[in-house]
Amino acid sequence: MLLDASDSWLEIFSLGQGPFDTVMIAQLYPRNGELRHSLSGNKTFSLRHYTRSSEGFRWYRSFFSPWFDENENVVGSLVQTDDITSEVEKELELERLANNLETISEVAQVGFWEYNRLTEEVHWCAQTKKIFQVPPSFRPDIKSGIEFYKPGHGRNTISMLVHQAMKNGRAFNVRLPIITAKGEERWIDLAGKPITKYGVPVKLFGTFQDVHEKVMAENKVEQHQQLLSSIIDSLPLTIHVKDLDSKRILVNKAECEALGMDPEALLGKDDYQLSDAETAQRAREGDLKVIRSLKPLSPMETEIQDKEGQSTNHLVSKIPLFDLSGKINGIIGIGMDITALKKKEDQLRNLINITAVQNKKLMNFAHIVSHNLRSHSANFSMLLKFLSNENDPRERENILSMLTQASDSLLETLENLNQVVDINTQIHLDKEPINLYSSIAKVAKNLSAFFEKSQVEIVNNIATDLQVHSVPAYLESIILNLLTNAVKYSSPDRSPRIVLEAEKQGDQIRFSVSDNGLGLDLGRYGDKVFGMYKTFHQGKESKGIGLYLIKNQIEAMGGSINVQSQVNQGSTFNVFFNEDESQ
Amino acid sequence: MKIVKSIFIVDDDPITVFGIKKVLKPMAQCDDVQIFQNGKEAFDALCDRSAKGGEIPAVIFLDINMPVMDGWDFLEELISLDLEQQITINMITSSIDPQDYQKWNSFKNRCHHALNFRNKPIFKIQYSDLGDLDLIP
Repeated sequence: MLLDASDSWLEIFSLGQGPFDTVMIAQLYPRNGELRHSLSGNKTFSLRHYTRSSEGFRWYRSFFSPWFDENENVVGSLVQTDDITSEVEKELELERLANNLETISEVAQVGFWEYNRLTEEVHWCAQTKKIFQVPPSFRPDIKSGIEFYKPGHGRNTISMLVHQAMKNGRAFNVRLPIITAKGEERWIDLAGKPITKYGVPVKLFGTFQDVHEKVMAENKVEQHQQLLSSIIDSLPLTIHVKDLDSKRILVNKAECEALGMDPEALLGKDDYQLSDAETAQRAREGDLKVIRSLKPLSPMETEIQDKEGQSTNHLVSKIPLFDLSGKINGIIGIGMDITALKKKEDQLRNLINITAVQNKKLMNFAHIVSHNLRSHSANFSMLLKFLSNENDPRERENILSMLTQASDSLLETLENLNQVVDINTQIHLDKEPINLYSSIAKVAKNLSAFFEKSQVEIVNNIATDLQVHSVPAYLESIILNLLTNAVKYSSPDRSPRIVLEAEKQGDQIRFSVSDNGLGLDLGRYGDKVFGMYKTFHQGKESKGIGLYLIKNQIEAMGGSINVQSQVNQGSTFNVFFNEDESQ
Repeated sequence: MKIVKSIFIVDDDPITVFGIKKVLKPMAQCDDVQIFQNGKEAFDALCDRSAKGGEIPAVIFLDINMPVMDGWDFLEELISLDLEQQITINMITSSIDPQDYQKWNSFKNRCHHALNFRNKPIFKIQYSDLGDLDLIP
């Protein structure tokens, strides 16, 4: 029962001025049973309680002290009540903040840690403990904390960082591997910041973040990248990636080597900065085609010049590069060095050409041989059959004389063919420098009777000191055939006139024999002029072998022969001697 | 024995000409056998006869390889003459070149003349060489 109270005390409990005989103390507090029990213990105790009003909660603390009489008997209790609202509110705020921190920590999966230098206490938050896979009850200290780091680099680093932070006040942020309490190796991001008091670090505060999955993913990406670049760099192909402006954004080793430049000198450059305008234009056009069509371009032969001007041939394919959304964002160029292949191909083509020419010659020759020999043998068998059926002695005589004729012409044919074979099977030709003028004079002297009979005028305009490289016998044969032809096919309407000329043309000497004779219808005979057994004039003792022979001789010496002619005006035969001794 | 009005033999090889004449003798009776050394001579003669209304040869023995104008060129010129009469032309050659055979074939399809292809040696001739298939016994 309340005996007396101050005004302020009464106000707390919203009581009016006395008399208080109806107010029971215990009824003023919640949980009055407990209070009554405490009171009967005759000890000092305190009690926290609150009131609720329109202004909110107010918090109080009441101290109960036993009231003794002179005989030390408890006769009552002294109650002192303090308003502790602000204290309680602070407490609640702190609790709320702690809760927030914990939530943030949990949501962000960032753990906190704290190290007190003075007490050497280490505090880990719940999230940190989760990261380290330790039970909530785990109490870390600085030593056990450091031992979670992987021995070696990890542990050394953390020890050094903590040491430096405490010594120099340096903050840190590092990624290290730890081994959790369950023995798992995981990557964490660790940050620490010293808190200083009077310029001296007293505490370290920091965060932990489990980045294991991220690191693993990054590692995987890095490994893929490493694999990719290893492959790209060791492929024997030049590879580059260009952006839509045809600027290189990736080049591999082979490409750098082909261009003779460092990657730094290539990246960000377009073809105009790397090659001549024409090549660059072609490359750019190819790129644009890929960008427009979104389709790979079939391999094209491209010549690439390096810095020293050394050129290599490449077979370049262009492939569109798409970004993740499927839009084109570049061009991949893959080139194969085909220089060696190309050289081989050129050699081969050259060889094929030579072979084709040889083959054609051979075919032609085989044809001639078979045709000519066959025609003789046909005559033989025909005549022999006639002979065996013939009884008339005069007719037999006739047939026999014809057989002799056939045999003679067969011999002649064989001799001609033999000459041709001789020319074409000479592997080593003994070419020597010969004075052309005096060679002509020599031949002309041998033919002087023939020339005199035909009243030929020969104009020799050849320099007396000009030399040609030739096999002596061939040169004689060439001059002889051309001169006799010029006379043989002279026009009956004009006295024959032969003009001889020679001049140096590069590494060739052109020797020409012009006449004013019958001429040839080149439109009609053209390529047949130099053919074997081709004759074009009637009854001139033509055998069709002379021009064929000298053409073979001239070609065997690496030269050539051609003819210009007009019917009934004359012909000019041009012989080109090859003076390039390297061949 | 078949009577043929006119025969041309065009060949620059006297032995072949002799042979053709010899094998003709028992087969045909002809008072007008003319020999030419090349296509040009034969063609000129043919034109001459055609212009003067003379006898166009019924049968021609034609060599392929000849100077000045060869057998093929002769055929070309003959076709361009556009003669009404059908001439039996026997190509006589020692060539066994398939190209010559193909050439003959294409000429054969281009003209209305009867074109035969005979390889040397010629031991005898057939009636078909004289252009009269109906008379084959």
